[in-house]
Amino acid sequence: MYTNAQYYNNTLTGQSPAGIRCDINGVTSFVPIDPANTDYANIMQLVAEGKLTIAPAGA
Amino acid sequence: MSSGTLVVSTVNSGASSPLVLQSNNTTALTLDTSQNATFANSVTSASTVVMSSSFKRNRIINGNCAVDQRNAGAAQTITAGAALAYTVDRSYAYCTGANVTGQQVAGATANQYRYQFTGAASVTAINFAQRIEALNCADLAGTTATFSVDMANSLLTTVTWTAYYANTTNTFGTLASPTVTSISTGTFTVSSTVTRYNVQIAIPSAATTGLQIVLSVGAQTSGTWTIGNVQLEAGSIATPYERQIYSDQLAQCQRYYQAGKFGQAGYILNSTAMFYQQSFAVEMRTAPSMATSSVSSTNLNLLALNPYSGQFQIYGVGASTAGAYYYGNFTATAEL
Repeated sequence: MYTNAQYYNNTLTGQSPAGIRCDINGVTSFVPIDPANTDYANIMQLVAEGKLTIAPAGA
Repeated sequence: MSSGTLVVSTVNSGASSPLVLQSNNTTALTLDTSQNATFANSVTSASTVVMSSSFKRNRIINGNCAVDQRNAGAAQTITAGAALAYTVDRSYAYCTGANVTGQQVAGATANQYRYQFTGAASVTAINFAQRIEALNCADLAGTTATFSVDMANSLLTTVTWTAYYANTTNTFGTLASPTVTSISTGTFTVSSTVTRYNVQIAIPSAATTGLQIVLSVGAQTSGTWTIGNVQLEAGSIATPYERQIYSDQLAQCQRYYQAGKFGQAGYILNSTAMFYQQSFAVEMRTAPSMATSSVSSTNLNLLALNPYSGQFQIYGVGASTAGAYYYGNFTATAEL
């Protein structure tokens, strides 16, 4: 269960976005931008299905 | 003939009898009608023993349920209708109808651990499964593999097994939107006594992308379902469960999940950047999702956490010119 998804940046390195901060089964987690990461793939699938929105960084 | 040397080119036992060789009036070697050989005593070779399936043959990781990083032996609730929940390392569960409890439990002496579900009223199904990374099973494509498992159920007598392969490499989707293709399915008739079962599975040649094995029961409204010594191996012979050194097995699990601690202390200038990097105990399958807990910090504003497959990095900025520290616990997940 993925909720409260939001991109985050790394202001020190300029990496944007650096990842997605979201709650996975109620636990705040940092998900890398990596298609091989199962959580990232699941999040993108939910986004494609219109079931989840990722807020922009700093919103 | 009582002694001497017999020279022949072929010895045949006939259509339906095993071939038996004796020494000292005792059976030493039996060749059954399927050409399986059973030696009555130890085997010594002066050269290499060539096998079609090597040692380290079990493609299931933590099949004996010994590693339990997430729960450390404590009971966990599997929530009905929720996403899959990881149980003992590498294996996950999900259920419908009502919540069930799962827990690593003690097995018999030679089998230290099992995983056990306790049924509850209104439960309609429980599933226990593992996904196998393509790197560890692609060679099984186009061959016959054998799946073996110890099981007991104090209420139900039927356990269904189903094998799948991922449609794309290492991508199995979610419970709601699976991206897998069914290979085959069948049932084991089980009892309340722990018994070992096995089945041969013809793995299709397209199944180079990772495998998923699911065990399922129906309305487990009471009683317990116990599982252990899960094994998937090449070939059509069910060999005994392959026991491994615990530290090796833990490292295998840590490729997919690991928990640990992080922390740093020092002196920092106001508004200056802080960068910290820590290696994982084991290189992970891919960059993991990470969560932190019990984080304590002084004089630092933590800005970002970047996971990579071999390490993670923490970035922060000093809140004032003074001594600073932070520490906490982390989990890193790179499950399939």
